[in-house]
This record gives sequence, structure tokens and C-alpha cells, in this order.
Amino acid sequence: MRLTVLFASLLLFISCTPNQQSTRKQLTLAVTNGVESDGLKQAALEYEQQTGTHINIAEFPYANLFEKELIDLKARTGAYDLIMLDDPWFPKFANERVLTDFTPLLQKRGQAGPDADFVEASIAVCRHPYQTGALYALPYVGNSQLFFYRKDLFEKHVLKAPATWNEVLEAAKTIHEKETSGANGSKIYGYVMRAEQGNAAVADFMPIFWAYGGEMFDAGGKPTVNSPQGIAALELMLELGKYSPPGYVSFNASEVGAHMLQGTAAMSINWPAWLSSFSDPSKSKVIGKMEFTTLPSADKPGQAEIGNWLIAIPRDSQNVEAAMDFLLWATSAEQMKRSAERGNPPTRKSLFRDPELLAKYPTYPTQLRSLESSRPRPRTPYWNEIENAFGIFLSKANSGELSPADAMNQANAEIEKILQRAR
Amino acid sequence: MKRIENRFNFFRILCLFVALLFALAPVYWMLTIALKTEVD
Amino acid sequence: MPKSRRFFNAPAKRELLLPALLIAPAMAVLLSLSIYPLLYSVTISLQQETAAGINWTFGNFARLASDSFFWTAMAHTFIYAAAALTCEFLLGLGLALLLNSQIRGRGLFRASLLVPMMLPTVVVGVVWRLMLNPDFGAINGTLARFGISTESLTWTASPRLAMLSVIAVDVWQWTPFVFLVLLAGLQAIPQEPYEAALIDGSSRWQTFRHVTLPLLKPAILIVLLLRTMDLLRVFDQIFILTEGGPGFATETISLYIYRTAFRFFDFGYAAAMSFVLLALTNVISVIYIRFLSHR
Repeated sequence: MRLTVLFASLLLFISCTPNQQSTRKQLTLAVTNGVESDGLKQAALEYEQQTGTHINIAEFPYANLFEKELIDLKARTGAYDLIMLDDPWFPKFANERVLTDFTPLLQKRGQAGPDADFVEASIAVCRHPYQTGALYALPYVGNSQLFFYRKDLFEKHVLKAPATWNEVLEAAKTIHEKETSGANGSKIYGYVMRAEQGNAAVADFMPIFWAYGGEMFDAGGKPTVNSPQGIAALELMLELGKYSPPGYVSFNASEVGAHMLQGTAAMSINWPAWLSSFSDPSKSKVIGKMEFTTLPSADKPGQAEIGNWLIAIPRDSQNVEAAMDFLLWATSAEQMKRSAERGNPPTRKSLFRDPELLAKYPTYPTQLRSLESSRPRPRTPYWNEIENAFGIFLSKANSGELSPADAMNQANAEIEKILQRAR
Repeated sequence: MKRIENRFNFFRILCLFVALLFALAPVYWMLTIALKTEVD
Repeated sequence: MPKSRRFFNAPAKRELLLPALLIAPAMAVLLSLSIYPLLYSVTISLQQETAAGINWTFGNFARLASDSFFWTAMAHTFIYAAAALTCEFLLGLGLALLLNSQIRGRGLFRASLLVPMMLPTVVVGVVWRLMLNPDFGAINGTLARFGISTESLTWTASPRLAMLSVIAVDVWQWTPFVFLVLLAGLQAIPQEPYEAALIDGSSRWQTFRHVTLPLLKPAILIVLLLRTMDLLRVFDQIFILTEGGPGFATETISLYIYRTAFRFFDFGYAAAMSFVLLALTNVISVIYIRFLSHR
């Protein structure tokens, strides 16, 4: 009896000792579930083939990725070695001090800072504080908004390329009225947008807001969304809504993409990551009919909203050096070029001017122009709450529940409350 | 008495069929969506 | 002998060892997974984090008073619960009465009617989201085939129809549960009261009101209580169907708590709201039990 107990406890003890570290190195990468991460996932596979380091990919829908990453990083579990961050999330993560500072890591490898080849706007959002502070991430997906429109329909109705939002509205109205029964029997809407409350509505609204001269915060940091310019911008959004498919109030990227690819909508704001699907015969019914340009202006020149996906290394990762090696490899000019060939918008100036890529993607000069003149959403660690509240009121205005003035006034009050709590 | 009973029974079965339709139609649609390859 | 010993008829200490050991694992689980998180929630709901550190304060509860989103979410939750409960109860009772007789195919009907409630709520949410899609969904497609215009029927995107849509989905899924419990209750009623009523010459309706309903009270209590508790906590279907939209129209309290905790990372405030919900659910349950078990 005693022998059995002794034997059993010995076995238990042995099984409790930690596993031998497998000689094969492993990294865990958290990515978003969408077109934006296709390039990175492919790069991870190639890295494994080249170096033998296995990269586990943890994929989550956009909404959950933020939570999963922040919870894990704050709990300091070290479950992830590399994380994809949408640039508006970056201030919160950096503020919580859960990211690794890249400068010492770069210095160890003989570099003073990030490659000068990176587009300034993209590197600026990787710094905390914005533009001037230490570097905590590197940009991988060089998304900044473009304006998509059907040049065939524009030619058909003798409309000039939309350079201002008023022209967009006119064109939307014309197309909406004249194309009520398309050749295949379906209606063509003048415009389509993301207006689901939250990230979707705010992302599509900001360029209009800025073009009309609206600013979320004034010089003193007080919210000013209910300025006359802000209200005018919202009114334009509602006007465009009249020529959008019914139900646009809860549209997100997939619905907008579907309408544009199916040819049932004529204009939209969208991200360059969608460009390759438009020339893909298995997805697009409008091959060769689309034109992509920079965002329209109003009182101010059109500015795209930047929406880069950054890659950062959690401070509590167990494999910081190995993760950095992968990151520098993936963001090198050679690897980013391969990624670009698969449809990933690059973040290096040299790639936007590369002759081979230009031949494949004639929109690169436009994309570079858009990226270099782009503007980020306000860099505040409370962006999530602000975006949520702002998005709710934008959605209410679009569904007709509140007038534009009321929506903006209430949004302003709510943002004020959020900032006060922060103090 | 029996005729009223029969009519009532018929009414019951009719109601039950309608309820069954409402309960199972979405399940049927769910299966057809699952068996389709791509929504066009 | 000490009074307490006598009262509990306690065995000697040694005989308590085995029972205690057997309960120990269950107690450990209960303590760690239920009691500890509960106490922790109380703790964080009474704390607020500032740049300086952590303060003990009632601030989270005070904030509830001025938070219009909280009260709107509460109102939505109650409207949702009341509407869904009423529909589920009436339909479930009707179905139970219909099936409480010797008709042909009774077993088949009963089994098939239970299908909706056996599906996971997430699956139900996803399937209905697809069906309610205004352009490609089965609902609008079927209506169109009957010649009904579906232009303005944007279901989950329409501020007027969104709440109706999510309620309808819940009714679809949970009426079978109400039906099941009430049917069991009906079948437990003995024949004698019915025979007595028949002899007394009471009409169908009178029989129902004075014989069936009173004897069904325990089952009604249980089903109303269970459904109310579930409805007040609803999350899955609404999150998948509308995510609280359009523009907050279908945001219930669980969604708001989730958002506060996991998007804004304000766990203290979320805990405070959860306690308010807990308190309310308790009050309602007590009211139910008092009201319905009153002889």
C-alpha cells in the first residue's frame, strides 16, 4: 500500500516539472479577421519556411481583437508576442505602458531609429506621444482612405470626376434618379457608406467632417463637434444617405464592399486593402469600371483619414528579440514588396514608386498622395469611448431619430462627460 | 357532441400545423443556406 | 450535553471527516468561481482609479443617476422582457392547451415544436441575422413573393422595427420552453376536478378559468420566473443581430455593461451596474413568488 502511494506521488512529481523547451521557436501573432491581415498571414508562413520559427496566428474579428489584446496585455500573461493594432487604438495601448519600446531594440541592431523609407504619416502614428515620442510599433498595412467611384456611370451621364462633396451629392442624385432600373433589373444607388454605430460610422464621417472645417477638439482640448461646420457636415451625410441603399444605417465594411463589388452602388469611401478584390473576377462584377481618387474637398482640401495597421510587441512577451527579428524582416523593403504584390498596401515610399508595383497597381501614386496628406483620428487614450458615443449619435441622426443639430449637441455633451471623468 | 368535437379537433390540428411551420421554416432556411456554396 | 449538539443531532467529530472531505472539492469550486468573484465585484464597484491611485468611493453608483445611456438601456431591457414574456406566455399556453388532448401525431408535434429552443442562442442569432437581411434575406424574399413591398422593411436597421425584430427572435426561440413546462403542468392535473366541473355544467371558459388556471399556478410561476430572469440578462441574440443599434435602439443593460467593461475598460462602473441589475432581478423574483403562491 505504502509503495503504491510512494510510486504514485513520484509520478505526479515528475509530470509536474516543466516541459523541455522545444528546440523549434514559436511566436504568437494576433491578427484581425479581414482583408487587412492577408498580407501578414502570408508573410508569417514564408518566415517559417525560411527560418524555421513557427508563428501561431490567432485571428479575431475587429471588435474582439481590441478587447482580447488589451485584456491579455494588461493581465501580463505574455500570450502574444506580436499584435496587430488599428492606429486609433494605439494611444490607449501606449498609455497603459504595455508595449515594448523599439528604440533600444533597434539600437542593438545598429539602427538609430526606423528606416527613413517609411512614410512619415505612418511612422508618426507609431509614436507616443503622436509624432514626437518614442517608437512602439511599426506600420504594416498602409491604409488611408480613397474615394471609389464608377467612372463608366460618370461618363454615361456626363459628370465630371467628383472633386468636392457638393459634386459628389449632385452626381449621387443624378445616378440615383437615372439608374432606377439597371440592365440586369437591379437599382443602382448613388452612394453607399458605413453608418453602423461605432467605428464604422465615425470612420466614414471624419473626412466629411474635416473637409467642412469641423474639428473634434479645439486648441484648448474642449470638444467642438457641434460647431456650425460640424453640423453642416452631418447634414451632408444625411443628404448622401437619401441616395444610399435602405438599411445603410447598419452597414459596415462588408456591406459596403458587397454593394460596390456587385455594382449596385456608384460611389463610396473605402480602404485600399479592398482594391485587389475589384479586379478579382470571382468577386467583382465591375472590373475595369472603377476609378479611385483622393477624397473630395469642401471648405478645406480633402484629407483622407489614416487607418494604418501597426504591429507592436507586448512588453511581457517571452520572445521579444525573436519577435523583433520577425517584425524587421516583415517590414523590410523586400518582404513588403512581396506583400504588396499580394494586395497589401505598403508603408514604404520606395515601394509606392517601384516600377514593377506601379505596373500592377496604377493607383499607387494616388494612394501615396492620400497617405502623405492623411490625418489621424484624435490621438487620445479615451478614443474608444468617444468613438462609441459619437458613433451612436451619428447613427441616430442618420436613422432620423435626432436632428443633425441635436445629435451634434448631445454628442458634444457626452464627449465632454467622458473627458471630465478622465481628469 | 361528437361533431363539435371533430370540428374542434380539426381546428386544433390546423393551428398546430401553422405553429410547426413557423417553428421549422427558419430551420429549413438555415439548412439551405448552409448547403449553398456562395451567396451571389 | 450542550444544547447545540442536541439540536443538530451532530455525530462525533471523527464521523464528520468523510462528509467534509467529500464536500470539499465542491466547496472549493463554489468559493473560487462564485463567492470570490462576487466579493471581488463588490470591491471594484466601490473603487475608482485616478492618476493618483485607487480610491474607495461610491462614485460608480452615483454616476448611475446621471448616465442617460444606463437608464435608456434599462428601459429597453424592461420593454424587451415584458413584450417577449407576454408573447411567449400566451403562445406557449395556447400550444400547451392545443396539445393537451388525444389527437393524432401528438408526439411528433411535440418533438418538432421543441426544435427552436434546442439551438444555441448564438446560432439562432446568426441565422436570423441572415434571414432578416433586407436585400438577400429569406424573410423579405418570402414577403416579396406574396407581393408585399419590402422597401421600408429594413428590420434590424430600422429604429422602429429593430426592437420588434429582436423580440420576435426571442419569442421564436423560447416559446417552446414555455410550452413544454406548461404542458407538463397541464398533464399533471388530475381528471377529478374536470369531471366535477362537467357535472356542475360549467362552460369551457369557466372550466379553464376556475379549474385549469388555479391548478396550473405552480407551473406558471416557474416558467414566468425562469423566463424573466433570462430575459433581463439577454445578450447573445441582440449582440449578434444588432449590436445594440441602430443608434442605441436595442441596447439592453447587458450589452451596455459588456461595452463598459470590455471596450472602455471601466470594470468598476460595470460592476456597479451589474449589482443594480442583480438587485432588480431579486426584487422582481420575490414579487413573483409572493404574488403567485398566494393561496
